[in-house]
Amino acid sequence: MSPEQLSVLIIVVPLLGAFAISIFGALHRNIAYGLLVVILGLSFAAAVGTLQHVFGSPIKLHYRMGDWPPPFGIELVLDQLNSMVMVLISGVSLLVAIYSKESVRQEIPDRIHHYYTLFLLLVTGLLGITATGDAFNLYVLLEISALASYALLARGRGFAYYATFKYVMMGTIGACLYLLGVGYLYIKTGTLNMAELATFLSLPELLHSESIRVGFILIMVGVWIKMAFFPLHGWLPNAYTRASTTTSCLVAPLMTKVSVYIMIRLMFGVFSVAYVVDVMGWNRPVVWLASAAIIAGSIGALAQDNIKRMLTYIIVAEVGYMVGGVWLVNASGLSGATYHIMADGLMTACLFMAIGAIIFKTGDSSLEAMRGVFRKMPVTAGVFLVGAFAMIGIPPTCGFFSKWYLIKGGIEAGQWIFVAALLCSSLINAVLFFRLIEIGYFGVFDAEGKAPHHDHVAVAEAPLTMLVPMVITAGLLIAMGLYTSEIISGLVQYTLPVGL
Amino acid sequence: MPDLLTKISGTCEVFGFKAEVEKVKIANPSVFSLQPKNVKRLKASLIATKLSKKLKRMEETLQYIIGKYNYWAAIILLLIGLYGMIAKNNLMKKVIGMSIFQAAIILFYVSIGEKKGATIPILSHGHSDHAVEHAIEAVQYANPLPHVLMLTAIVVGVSTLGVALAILQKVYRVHRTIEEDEILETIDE
Repeated sequence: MSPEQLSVLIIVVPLLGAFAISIFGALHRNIAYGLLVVILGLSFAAAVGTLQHVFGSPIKLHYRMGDWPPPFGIELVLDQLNSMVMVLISGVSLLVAIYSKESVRQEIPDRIHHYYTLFLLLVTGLLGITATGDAFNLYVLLEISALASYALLARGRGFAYYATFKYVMMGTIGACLYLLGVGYLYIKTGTLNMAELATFLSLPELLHSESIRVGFILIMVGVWIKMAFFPLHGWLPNAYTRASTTTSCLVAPLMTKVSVYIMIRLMFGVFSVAYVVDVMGWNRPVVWLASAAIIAGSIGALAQDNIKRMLTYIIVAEVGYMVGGVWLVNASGLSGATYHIMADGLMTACLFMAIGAIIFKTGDSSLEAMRGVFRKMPVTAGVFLVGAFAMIGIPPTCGFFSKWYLIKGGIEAGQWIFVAALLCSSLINAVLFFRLIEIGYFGVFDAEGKAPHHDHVAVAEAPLTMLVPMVITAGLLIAMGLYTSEIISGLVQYTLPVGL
Repeated sequence: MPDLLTKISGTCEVFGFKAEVEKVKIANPSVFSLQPKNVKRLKASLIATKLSKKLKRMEETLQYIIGKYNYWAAIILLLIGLYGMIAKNNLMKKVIGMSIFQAAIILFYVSIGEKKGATIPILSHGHSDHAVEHAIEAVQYANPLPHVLMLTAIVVGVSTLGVALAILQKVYRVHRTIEEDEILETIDE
């Protein structure tokens, strides 16, 4: 099998698998679960195979859909950047799929095959966004993943429906602005293929066109809404907090990271470094905004008394890290942002899975309910600690190395506000997580020697199907930190655009 | 006739034509030696020039609006939709606003494929043996690509509308209302 065919299998397998689950999954819940794991396993294997082909050399794989040549047909283009993000998506979704067995049984008792169908469609959409080389195709896949995530997030608790409704409104505005921006580019260039758009947009007569400039702004604002970039982040905390455990484990690590990938791809794959720096010249304001996002997200996290809600604010801060790193427009900053997409995807998944296991056992995610939980669930606590250390940025976890590159980029660009915001956010994260660790390990019991709130349930370690993916994720956080130099030299350095 | 000249200049200054008078003086000095009735004619012609300039500017503005009417229509619809999504208290009205917002973009795309005097892009002899004999001139056909793209976008829009309506129904079942302020009150409790 040629590597091109392997690359298209990453997307086709979950797409067809979604149909298979909706048909055969109705027979028994274990069939649905088994199919989900097998399908995502195959997709992950194909993604790893593709990554091996592009690792360590600047080649690109092109796959023409239906064998139509690029300007007319849609092509998939896989380079080092997408293959990396695709391994992240299929890997995290595989881990979450294994993890989902018990929590889905508890939270979504009926029609589990519909839930898993949506799960696979979301993964298909995200993988498609990452692989496509066509600007309009990207919009369609963006909406496929968004529609699947609306349906998944709505099946939560409390006022999840209302929170999701707000997300539908914001998500639609974001996607529509993107579509409008692509329309501007199409009017001026007459093409939608990203590689061809890039050659047309570098022509001097289009470089300074007002229409192209408006198109760029519309696309950026649309993508920023999708990734919940401050101050467009209002929809995210409510929607993610109210979602069910499996949904938040899947959506929280992946959706925002894929939007950051879209931003990098469009800024440097369709537009160019020269366009972003010389024609737009927005670097400094956007990096300031990113610094504001980091500070606002961290302070927002500090104010929460629900752990899951606290994590959603940390996501807002992390989006600030990545947007800031990209808009520094220098090699260190962009490497840091690209590396941080991987690192942040893993550590968000790790933390959400650990909190999910605690919610599974205690039925509550408030700080109060955490008292003494870590003593009863030692493995979950260990996983949570590794995730927390990665978030704070303690070596040898990968969080340290991404922050290292981001700060280096900030210093090289002379963006001291960004550097200060990064350091400040690390300190706030340390405060946040050490407070949690203190409550979790040393929280006082009441007079009868029982932890408050959950004395009616026997709090014990989470089931094995939850523990295994959690421990693997935590292990990957440390492994990724140890192999940082290989990842940077084998993958990230090839993703840097010309002119950096 | 210095007093006549001053008179003309004076009147013309009232109308704001001083520069024009100077031009006429330089171009045609004999005008100022003519009878008073010519003064009236001169005034009339000057006013006509001024008016025609104003008319021309108005025409340009109209041209700007009418010539690009498809963009204006799209912008107006877009803003109506955005207003509905942001300002309306009733969630159903927000959904309607969202639908208008998407329709605006679909119309925007469809309108850019249109050409004056072009026909539908179907080649009647495209598959016969004589296909080579009929040279295809792209100018004669409307651009089909935006229309095809919008078929997909319409499907996406309909699905989004469907999901939004389904979620809205669930919101109503949980909160027993679709007025946003009332929902927020129930959440606070």
